[in-house]
Amino acid sequence: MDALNGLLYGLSVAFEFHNLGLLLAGCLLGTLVGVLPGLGPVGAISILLPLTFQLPPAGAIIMLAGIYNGAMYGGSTTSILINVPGEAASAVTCLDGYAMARKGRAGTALGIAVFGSFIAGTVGLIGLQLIGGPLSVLALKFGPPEYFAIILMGFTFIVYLAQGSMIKAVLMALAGILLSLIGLDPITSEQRFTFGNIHLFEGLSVVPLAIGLFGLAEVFVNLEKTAPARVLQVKIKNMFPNKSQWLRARWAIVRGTVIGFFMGILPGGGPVLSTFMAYGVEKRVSKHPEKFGHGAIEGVAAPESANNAAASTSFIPLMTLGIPPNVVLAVLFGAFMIHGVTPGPLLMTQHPEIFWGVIASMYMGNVILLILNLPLIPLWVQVLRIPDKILYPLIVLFCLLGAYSVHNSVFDIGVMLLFGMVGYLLNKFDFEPAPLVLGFVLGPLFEVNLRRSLLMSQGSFAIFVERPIALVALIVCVILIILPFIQAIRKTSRPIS
Amino acid sequence: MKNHSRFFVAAGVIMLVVISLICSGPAWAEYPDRSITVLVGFVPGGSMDLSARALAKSAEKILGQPVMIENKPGGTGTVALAALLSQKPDGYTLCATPSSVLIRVSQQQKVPFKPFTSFKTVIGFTEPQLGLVVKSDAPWKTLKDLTAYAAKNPGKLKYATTGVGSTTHAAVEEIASKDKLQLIHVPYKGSMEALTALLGGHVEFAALTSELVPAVKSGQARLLAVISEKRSVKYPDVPTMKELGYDFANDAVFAIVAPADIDPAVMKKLEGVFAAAAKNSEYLETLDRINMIPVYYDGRAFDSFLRKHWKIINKSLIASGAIKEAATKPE
Repeated sequence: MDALNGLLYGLSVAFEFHNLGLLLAGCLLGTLVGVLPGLGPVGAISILLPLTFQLPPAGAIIMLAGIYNGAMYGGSTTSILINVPGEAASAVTCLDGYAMARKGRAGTALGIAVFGSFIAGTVGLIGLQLIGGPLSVLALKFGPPEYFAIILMGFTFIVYLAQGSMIKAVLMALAGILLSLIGLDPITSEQRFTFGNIHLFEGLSVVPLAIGLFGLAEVFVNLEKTAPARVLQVKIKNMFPNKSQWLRARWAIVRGTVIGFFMGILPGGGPVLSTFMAYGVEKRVSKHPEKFGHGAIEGVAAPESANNAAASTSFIPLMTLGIPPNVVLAVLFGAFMIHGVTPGPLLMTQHPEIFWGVIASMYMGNVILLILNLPLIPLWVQVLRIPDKILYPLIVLFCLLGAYSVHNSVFDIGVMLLFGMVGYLLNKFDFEPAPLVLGFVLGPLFEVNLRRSLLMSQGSFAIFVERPIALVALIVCVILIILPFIQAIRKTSRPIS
Repeated sequence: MKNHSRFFVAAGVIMLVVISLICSGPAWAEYPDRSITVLVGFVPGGSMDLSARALAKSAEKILGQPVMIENKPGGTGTVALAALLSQKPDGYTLCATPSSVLIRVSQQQKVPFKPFTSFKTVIGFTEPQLGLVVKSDAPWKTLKDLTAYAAKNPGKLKYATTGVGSTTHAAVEEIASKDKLQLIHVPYKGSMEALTALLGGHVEFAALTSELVPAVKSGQARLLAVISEKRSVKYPDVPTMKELGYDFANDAVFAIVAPADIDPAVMKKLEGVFAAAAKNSEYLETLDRINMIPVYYDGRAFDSFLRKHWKIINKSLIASGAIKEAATKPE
């Protein structure tokens, strides 16, 4: 099936009545969690995953993808109106978005964020649609050595692109890999770190872990903030940007889209990081960098475009290689598996209804979000006025329900509570939980492909350099590891020369 | 303080006794007077879950009471069996399990039940389609071609299975040991991954479960032999391993089990109901759609099946180095 026929087939799936309903529900829920500070797409998808058990896999993934995209749209609202990011991928938008709102241009900021998101999201999807098929065919040629090298490259990127301390990111990724070792050895089926507890035979599951780290921990952290965020009392008007604003934002949207497009595919990249990069680039190329932070429209348009492009393209590695490039996709990877579908090179041929249905539904999701968002912003503003004492207990309740219902297991509730506390402490000590979850999900893939490669080569490590794709990936790893050292040496040697 | 707490404990005990008396209801009421729960030790959507759901749907028409599936994944399927034993043996809670959890997993891991004696089998109802496949452009047309090539090229052929110590692995081990072949085993997690490796050309052949059916149907893979007692209705021309001289057949049969101390009258009723349910045409269509093969074992037949295969599996697990001795005593 070529890309066009695939899309048409996908549209026929996405237009089925129940799938359309699920998409709408996903988009609305996603926007809601995007708007609500303290609950992002990772937590929301983890918590809502069990609700999708009764659905066919295509419908379930369509809804979960809708949540992801919706959150990308919704996050900006909170950033612009109350200077608190609704979720991490909209943190940068606070800088200029809130400044614009204070100058009475809230409507324009919200409008450009939505239009930028729509354009970038759609471009990302075209990329997914065109690249997805050919890459699936190519991916079949990837054997254990290629997978090993690519995942190793992913880990290197995760650490290299970490927002805070690189050492802390390494530690988190390693902690994630360590946690993933619990359970049966993937090659010999021996027990590791199970302490004879049958609940640990299959290892920890990613959903309670993610709910704890991203749902419960956020509630704990927010409880400390005593001062309630103030919703700016402004009239939201002129949401359609005028011609001069379009002209100013035009290239910012293009650049944001390109950055988001590539950061989405890159392991360890994803929407959050792409927003920081897009903002940085805008500030650098701008003729008036001094305006940034004081309500520059480019400072809203670029990151909001970037995060939506990245959200779309991050499906490429998951659906073609079976490798989740960021933490949201890691949870979605779990969702595929729970529904008995293995994402990877055979997804397109064996489950075309999922592959093309999800792509087509995301196109439609973008349109739905564009139409819904502008008129519904006043409603979201009302949501922001829900008092914390009602909101937080509700989120905790959903965390408990979500953790329990994946496996109908009380043990998982314990896991969730434990990681809720761990997540709180990580936050206090300035560790990011995302590399941990990525390490946890990529760890088993990393290990098993390393060991499979060595089984195939009868113990010879030469297998990793004999195969071109693996070799290239390993060279990239080496460069990424050496690069910071070179930069450090340059910095220290410069004053001497 | 102390007196108070004693009073509460005593009151609590009395309450519990009263409640349990009320809830247990009149003992003479005909079974079943409410819904029956079937625990499944795997996630929804897998072959165990889907086949159990299909059978449950067929059984509830005969029973006149809802038969509900409750997924309790974990411990490679052992959590659900352990959970069954914590329930009252009143016939209102059953468990659907593959035989492999009883006789394979329990040899690899210490489990909180005795595989032969903790349960009584209501019915053994279906088994996956197991077989040996090569890519359709591979030069080997029969299993004999493949083994002849392997004999001439020791240490050259790589094969994928669904995991170390799995039935698929044991099947190839049987071939290798009988024909004295040197093969390289590359274990994968589940049939889908193993199939992907085969189609990508990373291994020369693979021993797979039901996922082989769509690949064979679409012409991507060729089936050389089926790993079952009888030839498959779908592939009447493909020989079984037994016919080709290897004494090996599938040891993974899906069954419904009850706690061993279940009331014999209730057990009898269940056996009759499920035996009839397994003949339902809608149920059989569902099995076919998910590429499962209908089989029938009553309690006694399943018991001897378990005992026979325990020994075979024990031998192969020790030979492959996965275990030194069975982690659980069977009885």
